[in-house]
Amino acid sequence: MARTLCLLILGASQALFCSDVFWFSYKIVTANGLVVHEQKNIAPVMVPYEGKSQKLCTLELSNTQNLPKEQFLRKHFDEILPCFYQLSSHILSWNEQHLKQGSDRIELVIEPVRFTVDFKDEFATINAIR
Amino acid sequence: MNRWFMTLLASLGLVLVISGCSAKKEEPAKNPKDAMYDFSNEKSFVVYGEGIAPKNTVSPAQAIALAKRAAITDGYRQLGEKLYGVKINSSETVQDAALKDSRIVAQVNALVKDAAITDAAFKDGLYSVRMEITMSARRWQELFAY
Repeated sequence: MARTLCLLILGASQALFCSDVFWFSYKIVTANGLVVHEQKNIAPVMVPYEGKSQKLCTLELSNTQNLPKEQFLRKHFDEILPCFYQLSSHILSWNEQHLKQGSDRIELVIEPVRFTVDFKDEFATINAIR
Repeated sequence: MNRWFMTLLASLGLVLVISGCSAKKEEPAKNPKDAMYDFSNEKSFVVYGEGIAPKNTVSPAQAIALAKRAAITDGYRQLGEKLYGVKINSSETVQDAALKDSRIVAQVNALVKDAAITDAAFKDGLYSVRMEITMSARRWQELFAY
């Protein structure tokens, strides 16, 4: 009984302190100018972290349907993606010319970063936590 | 008379020489180290990334969105080329005095921060983005001096 209570308190505190902070990461692979692979990741932070907040952007987005934040962010991933380009974008490129044939492959990775989203009026502000 | 004329000419010449010497400014010697640590200079790198709209998409909007992402990725690659350089591996095989095989591999491995998309356009299935990054000597030192 006591153990269950402890676990409940722990779970509640985790939800209370960590629910508003999320991880973001992104990977895209293009081959000869065409997108061949895309990986979009948004996940809630499971371990409390206190870092400096850095404003990335303000978007004209409002959560009118009162969706849970994680679900809302997943739904609007394409809108929030440009905010994260300015952070660390890791580029790996491979271009091969063999006689008359050429192949080009680029991988762009936005490394995992913690972020928060604040809704005010009809705008959503994205802040990176580092 | 001739002697007076010669003296006048010599005096004029002397005055010219002296004034020329006094007018010459002495420029301070440039120290290459000072130029290296001149943090006031800023330089902008501009690239144009291009991406192709795929044909097998569910809608034209999706094709444009994917073309834009491909263009941004291409732009980042070009910025990486400018900031970090390109590693080139090349091999050519010549047999019987004729080129048998030629292979060139260009690789870029870069980390780019704070690049901005300043313009974008979609025309004839090609998405083009103008990207810009401003690099100061201070920032250059922070990123690359290790």
